[in-house]
Amino acid sequence: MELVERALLQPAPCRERYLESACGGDPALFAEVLGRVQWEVQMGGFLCQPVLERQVPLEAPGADAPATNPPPIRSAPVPWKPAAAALLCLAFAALMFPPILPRRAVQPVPETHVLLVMLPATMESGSPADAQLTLADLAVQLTGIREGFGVISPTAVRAAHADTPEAAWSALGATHVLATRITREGASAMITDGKTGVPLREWSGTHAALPAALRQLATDVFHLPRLPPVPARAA
Amino acid sequence: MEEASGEVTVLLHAWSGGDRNVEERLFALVLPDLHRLARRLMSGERQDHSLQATALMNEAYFKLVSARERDWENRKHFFAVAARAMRHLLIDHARGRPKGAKIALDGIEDLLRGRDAQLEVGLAINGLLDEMERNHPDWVSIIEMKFFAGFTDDEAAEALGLPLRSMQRRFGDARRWLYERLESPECKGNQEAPTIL
Repeated sequence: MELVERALLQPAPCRERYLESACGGDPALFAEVLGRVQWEVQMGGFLCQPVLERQVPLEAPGADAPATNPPPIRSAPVPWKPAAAALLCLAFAALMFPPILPRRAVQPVPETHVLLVMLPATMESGSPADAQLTLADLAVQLTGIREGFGVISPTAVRAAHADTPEAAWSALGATHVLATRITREGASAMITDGKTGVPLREWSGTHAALPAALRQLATDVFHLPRLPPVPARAA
Repeated sequence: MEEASGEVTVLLHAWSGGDRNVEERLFALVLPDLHRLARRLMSGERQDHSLQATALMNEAYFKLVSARERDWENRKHFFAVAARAMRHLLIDHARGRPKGAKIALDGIEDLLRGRDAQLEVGLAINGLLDEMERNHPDWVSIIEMKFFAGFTDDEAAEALGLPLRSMQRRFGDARRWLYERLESPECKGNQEAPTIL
């Protein structure tokens, strides 16, 4: 379908030539795609505009924040050597003198205007369906949980092609981002500040512990009411 | 609620096994939530922008299907049933004779104001969808999700468990199938007269 869409973007007289080139001399593919293009032209937008259509598109919080030109938050040059030395010192101090270092406090999150964007899980192992269901479950549970607390589900994130932390901030206006990662060894999740990318809370553990851990992360960081227990999955 | 949860699961299993006689009962159970879906999709309230069609149907799913029975097969069937119920809700409204005895449709007129053209198209293809169901039930689900329930491509693909491109290709095939029949001379003389305009 992508080829069909691209062909439709060409001026009508140029479409066949474009397709000949794009199909790389494959006559069967050329015939099929050309047929589809011709049908699309004939049908116009038949059934493409739904009866029920959301009236508020996904948008950035301010029209003055163009999605195509986000501020280069993460591309700022980092003085690696001093930073690495400082990190080593901090790690050494943490090992030797744990009481003198303050535990990392969860940043106080204002009670209003939170927009948590839940990125689709990064899958290196396991069942994508299970992870998606877990995240969808959490999105549903969090939706409307508190005044001024918004959630964008992974499905909506994919639909908006905003499945990186940068895009979540620039295109969707995320104040916070939840990223989940599934590997063969286990699972991990992290809530970051949407604008700066600074981690606020992280978790790693087993696959089985992920649903409960995600709930705990969200309720801790945003001081939300306790969520209902994780639903048991069918065997 | 436990009783309703069990009933929905039993009905979903029957429906996925091909028993379409259970549809009416399933519709009666899911339609109140879908009416809310319609309201929220079209309300234009800023706070709802993050709550997409699938999330709302998920909400109904979590409410109506017991935790023990929730799996991807059940969810897929639930979404298909919910999209079909949405089609019935809209078609009944377009015909001007909603089965409103059981299902509250208060305010749906306001939601659908200005949607006459799409409702007329929906009315025209409704009978053809029943015919399509015999050979291409998966196409019908796609049309119901995309056209009647307002799913995006990604949402429909996820709900049906299909790769995005496959879903888009089937949607194109289904549209073409319907378009050809609507354009045929026999169909043009037989279309259900739109009563909404």
